[in-house]
Amino acid sequence: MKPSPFNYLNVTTIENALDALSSNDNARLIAGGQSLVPMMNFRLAQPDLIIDISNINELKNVTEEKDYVEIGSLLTHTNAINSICLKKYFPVIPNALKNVAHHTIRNQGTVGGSIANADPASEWPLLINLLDCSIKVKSKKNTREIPATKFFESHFVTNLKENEIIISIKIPKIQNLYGWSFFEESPREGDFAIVETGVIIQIENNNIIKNANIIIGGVDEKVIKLNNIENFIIGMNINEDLCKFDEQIFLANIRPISDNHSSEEYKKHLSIVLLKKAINSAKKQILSKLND
Amino acid sequence: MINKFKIETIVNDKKYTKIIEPRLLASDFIRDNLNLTGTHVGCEHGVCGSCTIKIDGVTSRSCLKFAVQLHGKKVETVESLNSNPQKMLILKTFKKFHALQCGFCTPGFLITVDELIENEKFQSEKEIRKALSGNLCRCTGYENIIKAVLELIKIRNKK
Repeated sequence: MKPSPFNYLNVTTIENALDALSSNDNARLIAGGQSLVPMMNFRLAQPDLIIDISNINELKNVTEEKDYVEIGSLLTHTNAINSICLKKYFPVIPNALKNVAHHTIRNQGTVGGSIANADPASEWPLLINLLDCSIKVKSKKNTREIPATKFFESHFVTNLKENEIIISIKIPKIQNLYGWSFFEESPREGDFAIVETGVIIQIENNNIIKNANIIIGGVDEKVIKLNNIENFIIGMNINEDLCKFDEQIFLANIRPISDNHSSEEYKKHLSIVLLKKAINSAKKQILSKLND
Repeated sequence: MINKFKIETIVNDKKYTKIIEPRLLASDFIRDNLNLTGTHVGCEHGVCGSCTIKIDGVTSRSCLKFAVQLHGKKVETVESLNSNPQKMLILKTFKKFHALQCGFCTPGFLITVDELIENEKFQSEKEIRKALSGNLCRCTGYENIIKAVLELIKIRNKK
């Protein structure tokens, strides 16, 4: 239960972090450490060098631009929940993040750490997909932006290269009238979700659904976007029954695995229940906005 | 070759300078190097909450931080509650409601409760239960812990 020996480097600039990262084969970045340190304590991770980026202050900001909000990768879950700007434009973010572990963990854990870890049942990866975010990453020679759909590849596997650091996440503002919802079911308060779902439905002036993002986590190797259901409801009137999607097609597109907490069958059942709940909740929100 | 580090940190308003290895966990540093044994080591992977401390005023699991990361930071452990009459009230209220049996989890609860009553409104008992779900008590003392926190909230709201 003690980590194996490693060297430690505290950096205060992105450049110093990138230099150290590119000159060591077995280096790991530490931000909040809420996933990495347990793995090191169990010796599942045995890095030779820990590069501590938690003191790079320029990565902790929330910046509002005309069309998007940009958040630094070191923003903690607690600071994201308390951000007035995020709450104003994306109320689904604080709502979902209240499900991340416990408040002491949320004080330390960061958005960058969470998405780099890429657990398919955790909240930030779902939010990144739900809100069509792009992820800005930097290496010594290059800066690139990765769209959400390309970033997550599999269980704990991302598109991030070994010499790259996540700098920020860009969240585009939503232009149309919209409704949102987020639901997850976990064995106990603060545990990882068994299944999590997020929905954003946008409508046009004539009450026709223009765009829909429907995302599910915990039932596959990564958080997945349910294009079939999205396409089913796009073009429908918001007053119609949006939950008559083909359940068999949906089930054929997910691959939940039985574990200690729940069977494959239960996860499939739960997915459908949560999806319908989430779609109806987003719809209800739109209807109440229309009545205001 | 592993380099050792000289760190300077302020723990409970006292400055310490120590030479340590990077792999030393903050929890072991506080207990073994500083002899502040109020901080307890339970699960050592961030689940049980027994080792909770405050770093720069914010709670953290000390088993998920390395001692070397405490360099230049201000740390508060459960012992810090003794020096402040307002914070002693948390201990006294826990005693009054018998909110502990063996006491192993208690330091973590006290530090957590200290932060929660400072920051959270708490409209209901359910919210308190949710907020304290990150601290495990194995003597099934939760009922009395909740009673103590409800009392502390009542006292706070009167002020």
